[in-house]
Amino acid sequence: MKELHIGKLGIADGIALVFVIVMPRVFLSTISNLLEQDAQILWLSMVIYSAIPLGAVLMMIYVHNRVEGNIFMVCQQLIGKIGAWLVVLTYIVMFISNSALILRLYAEYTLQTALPRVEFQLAIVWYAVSAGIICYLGIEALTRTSSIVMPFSIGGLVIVLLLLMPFYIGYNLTPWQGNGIMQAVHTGIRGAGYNVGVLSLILLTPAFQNTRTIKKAAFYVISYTAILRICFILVYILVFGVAVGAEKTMPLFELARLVYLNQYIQRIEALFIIVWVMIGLLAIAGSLYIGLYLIAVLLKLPALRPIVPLGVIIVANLAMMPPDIGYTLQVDQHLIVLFDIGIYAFPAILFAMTLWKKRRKRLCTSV
Amino acid sequence: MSKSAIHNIITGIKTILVYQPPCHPAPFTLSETQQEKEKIDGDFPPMPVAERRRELDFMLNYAKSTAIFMEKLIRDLRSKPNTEVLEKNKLGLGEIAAEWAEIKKNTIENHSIDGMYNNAVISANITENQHILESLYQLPLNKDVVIRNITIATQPKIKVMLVFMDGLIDKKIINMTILDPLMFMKDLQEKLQGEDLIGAVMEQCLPSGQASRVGGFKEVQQAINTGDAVLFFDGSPEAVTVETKGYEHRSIDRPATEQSVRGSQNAFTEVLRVNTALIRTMLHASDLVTEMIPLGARGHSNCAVMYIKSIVNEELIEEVKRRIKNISTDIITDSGVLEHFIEESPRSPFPQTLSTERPDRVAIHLAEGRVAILIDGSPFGHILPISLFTLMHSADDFSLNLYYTNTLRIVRWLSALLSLLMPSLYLAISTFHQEALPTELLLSIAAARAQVPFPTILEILFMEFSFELIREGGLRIPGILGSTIGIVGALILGQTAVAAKIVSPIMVIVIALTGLAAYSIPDYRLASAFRVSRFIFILLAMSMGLVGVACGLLIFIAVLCSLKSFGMPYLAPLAPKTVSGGDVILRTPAAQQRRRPDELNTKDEIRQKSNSRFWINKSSKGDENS
Amino acid sequence: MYIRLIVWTILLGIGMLLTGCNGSRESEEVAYIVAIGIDKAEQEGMIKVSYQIARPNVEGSKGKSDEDIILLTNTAVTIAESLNLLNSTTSLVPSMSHIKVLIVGEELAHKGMADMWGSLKRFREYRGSMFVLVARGTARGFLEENKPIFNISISKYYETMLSSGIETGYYLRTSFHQFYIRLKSHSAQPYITLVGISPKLGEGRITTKSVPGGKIDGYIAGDIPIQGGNPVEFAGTAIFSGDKMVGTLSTTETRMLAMLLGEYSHGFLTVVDPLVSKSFVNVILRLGSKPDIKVVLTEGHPVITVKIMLEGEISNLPSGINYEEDSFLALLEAQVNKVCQQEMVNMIRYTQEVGSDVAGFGYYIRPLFTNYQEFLAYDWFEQYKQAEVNVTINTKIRRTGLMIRTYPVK
Repeated sequence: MKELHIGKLGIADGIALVFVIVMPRVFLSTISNLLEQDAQILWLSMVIYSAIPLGAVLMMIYVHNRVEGNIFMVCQQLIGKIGAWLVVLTYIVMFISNSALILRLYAEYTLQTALPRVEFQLAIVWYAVSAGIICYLGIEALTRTSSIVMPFSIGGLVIVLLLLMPFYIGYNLTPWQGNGIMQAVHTGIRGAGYNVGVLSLILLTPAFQNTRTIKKAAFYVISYTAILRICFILVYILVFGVAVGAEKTMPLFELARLVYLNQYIQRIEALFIIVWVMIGLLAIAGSLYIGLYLIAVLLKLPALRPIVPLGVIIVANLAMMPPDIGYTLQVDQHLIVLFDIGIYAFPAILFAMTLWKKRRKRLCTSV
Repeated sequence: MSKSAIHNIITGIKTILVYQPPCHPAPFTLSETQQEKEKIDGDFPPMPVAERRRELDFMLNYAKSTAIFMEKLIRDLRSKPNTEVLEKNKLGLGEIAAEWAEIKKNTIENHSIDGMYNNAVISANITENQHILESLYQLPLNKDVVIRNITIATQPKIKVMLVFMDGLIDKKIINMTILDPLMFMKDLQEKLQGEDLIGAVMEQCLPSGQASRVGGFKEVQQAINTGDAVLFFDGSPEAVTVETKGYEHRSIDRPATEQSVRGSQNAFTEVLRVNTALIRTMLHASDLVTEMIPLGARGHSNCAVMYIKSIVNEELIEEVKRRIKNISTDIITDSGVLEHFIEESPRSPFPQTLSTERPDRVAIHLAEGRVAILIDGSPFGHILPISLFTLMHSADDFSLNLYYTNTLRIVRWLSALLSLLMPSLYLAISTFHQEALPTELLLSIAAARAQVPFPTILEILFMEFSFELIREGGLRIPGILGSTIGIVGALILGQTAVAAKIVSPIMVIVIALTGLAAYSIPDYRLASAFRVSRFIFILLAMSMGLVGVACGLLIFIAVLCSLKSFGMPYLAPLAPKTVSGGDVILRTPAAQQRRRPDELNTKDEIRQKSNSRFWINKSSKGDENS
Repeated sequence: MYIRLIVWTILLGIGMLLTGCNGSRESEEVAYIVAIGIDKAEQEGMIKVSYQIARPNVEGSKGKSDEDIILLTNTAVTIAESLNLLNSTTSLVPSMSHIKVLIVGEELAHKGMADMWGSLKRFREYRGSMFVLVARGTARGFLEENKPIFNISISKYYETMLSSGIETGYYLRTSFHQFYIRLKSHSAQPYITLVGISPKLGEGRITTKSVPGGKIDGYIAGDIPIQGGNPVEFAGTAIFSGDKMVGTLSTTETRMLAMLLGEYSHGFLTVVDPLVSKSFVNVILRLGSKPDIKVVLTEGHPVITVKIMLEGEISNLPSGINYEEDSFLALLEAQVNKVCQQEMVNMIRYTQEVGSDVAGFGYYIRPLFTNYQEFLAYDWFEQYKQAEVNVTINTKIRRTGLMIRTYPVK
């Protein structure tokens, strides 16, 4: 089968791709839920659930170093055809549902924040079509655009965090243990699915230059996002405190709304909308692309572009299914469990099979 | 009798009363030619093709029989013939000549020279060559081509025909370097007919700098059409082309579109040779190669591809030449047209080559490892492959102070962004997100708009349209009035439109700023691409506010990222992260630009050593610092 | 292929345009509300909402400042209903995204605002950066009587008025965000700037008498003796317990509160001259460093230790005694210390009596707990009422103004 990708993506592309898939969850309401569970110790669980996917990535790199081919061929060699179908189908479901969920949440929040009177289905269709266009242009265009947008989004976020300095109340971070360290560890282990975007590096292995690139990219991006998220959560607690912070639907938007330096620099959140929408669209497009790529690998399709409109329609319809925002947030919680399986179970199984096979016979190493 | 009288009366009344159509001849209508009519009828016209094929078969047979006859003649003549055999051979020759006259008459009448004479070989008979030339150039109808018949003083005298195109040649060169030496040549002994007469003449009698031998009419036509003179020698199946170009052309002037304060003030002209010479005056490299490729089926204009062989990527050169050679078109007049033929995404509004009038820019880019394409007749040269950042450099940047350059570059980039986004941002914020504006500004906008009858989108479109009107009109007005109309149009239109409450004053500011910002983009085509995109952004802002602008901006960046200019990604050092050559958005000092741009994949990556100013290590008195 | 693309683009475009304008409004179709005032209505269970709307200055009519704003009041059960009713009166659509101040009438503040204000955070047009004021009397009265003397727009008036409170410390600026944070924080109680209307008769009413050694009396808004100008006064603070207003602080007490919060920028203080008891000394005070507050949780009651460092500059010295010299300077500093300490102790005692920890001492006990649940279990506000407070003030007078000695007048 002709390979769908030539190995041309580099470290910067990998970093950008994972960054845009992982980051939008910062903007959505997961932070409020987590804050309610953990209070001030949330940063510890963030450290934990950033470190665990790194371990999963390292395991998968080991696997890919020993076994050649894309993810389907690797699984086929290690766990047989049925296992391979199972694994790849789970990943397809994970990424397409991630894309649909982010699409739905973004459309909801557009209705809440930026355009309160827009028609809901119009927002969904608009976002889906834009994400579809970006998917259509290919993975290279996607990663390159992400690597251009990434510094601006980091810069914007940091500026907002810094502009809120008059509002910091240091004592909000105490009592520092929050709801308990064990609680934080528990949340961290359960929440490893938040970083599921890191798996996209593994699933797109043929598109990268070699596994060293993947390793470096994974290290960099997990540390960037971890630092960024921890800074964000610290500032959020500093400004709002746990009680008020856990009430809010859109943490980042509320932070941006609060900025008030003097009578001229206030109400700047409208300018933040541009960056926020761009990251969201890239997240939807990135997850959608990986889902479609896995479908193409599974069904042995020669090209990816013709199924992009189909993927767009599927994702848009999935996004319109939940009846209200509460249900959507519940679905969000359940999906994290699914993502956990993707991060914990499958890499562990593949790693174990590789070790076992390696002990049984010496395979020649191939990259 | 009476019938005719009544008839006369009736016709008389008719002529008086009834409207007679004016008795003009039928007007000229451009009706289809015979060939087109046959094409429209649907069938592939078999007749003319079969006709020509028959002709060609006939001529081939004729040629074969003539060849056989000639061989027989040679054999006969060598074996000491008697008069009988001679007589017979003479008759045979006569027959052949008569047949040939017949054929020629037929073919000249039917004008079926298509394909027949273009690939024809120069014959040894000079009159035949003259007839072929007359068919090719429609002589004696065409008064441009001049044929001069002379004889040169060899033993025996040989007839020489000189052909040139009047107006393209320099008369003095023809007289001095061709006619003079040939006609006043001394007797040349031991010159035999047919045996390298041409070589001897060229070596000894033609004092011209460039002379070459050609064997087919294709090269002869190319030579005559571009201004060389061609010499046909009776008895030789080759001709000599002599360089005699001397047509009037514009002298080297300042650049019309890329003015700079500091930097060379030469600009290209329409003559290819002058342009390549200008580049060579800047770049004295020995391996600066100029390859000439003829373009166009109906007139072979020349296209020059220049590159430095020890730097440039071989595959790039191969690809460029492959693309240029494999286009089939009638005629290419301008390098812009050629660019449309060879670029990868002709439907994209973004320019994928850099078109410049200045040889110093071309020289700098050639030294970086790029390729330059020049066309005869166009004063703009094209440089490829380029990235978006190259398009935003101006010629001044290379020689001015670093801080000034970098400040101006930032201003340029900001104004490029402004020209793209400003009307749409204004529209989005003032209609969807009014909370982003300070209260006082918002109240003054509302006050200004309170009496304007149109919604903001119509105001924007109206002002954009009038700005474009002023700009287009200003382009075409003869010189003296140009600036007046600009001032009149802008001031009066803007001022009175505001006073008449058709637009609000802040709209005038927005549109004026946008228009001016577009002029700070150095490349004209990039500015036009941004102008087109601005319109799309306005529509997006009208429908979905800042969300629409964000989506549009994202797709804009994604389209730019997926664009390639001759295999090199359009946003090269930024998007696939490569090592830059020191000059992307901001410019590093010239002493620190160590590498060539990585994305060009040149053969030689290092421009200069990392310690490029090693006079720092030594003091001026000669002793070294440690 | 091309034709399909064109058809799809046209269909999408038409579909996009047919859905309507997506809520875009031209800037002149919107009425920008600059201030909202909420009062208790005469009918039971209803509130009176007053809206101050800024009118854009249409060209040709140079705005006199009272033509720039319009005041409308209507009565409804909730704020949302009153907004609906407002739309029936104005031709432009009201928009709340430019509200600068929220004013609450005193009566409503005493009754409690939880059912009204908590929900304000939910609606997207309200922002946390709006400022809040409590009006003595009614909010409508405040908005009506407010006639700024300088010809600036009304939103600028509110902004500059509130940001200049830091010049004296007599009133503090609060935003809705700060109010709400303190409401939910379990560590401090909210406070709001107090405003009032003065009858402009030149007579004042003193709320807190000056302490021994000091010469300044404390007023609250509406009681300051003025004549002429804008009758509206910003002075003092309303302090809350939960969401109910329980008391007011006068100007001098607000100054002490500002010092405790670390927000006191500078202001004049007048004390009795320590050596000549008929005369006085003016000192410009500023906070030298952030207040040093420690809270120790002993069984029984918490012990709060406050150390404040002030820096001063002499600005008026009628008695002519050479306080610029070191030995006399110590006397002056001791006098300032005594005055400030007494005022602060009085203020803290008052807040303990009404049960409102506005100074935020509850924040300082947070590091003493290990767990958030433990912290929530400790009832600070009850314990605060019995807390023992020790205040130490350390003043350093560093500068003496433009004169270094005074020669007596013959």
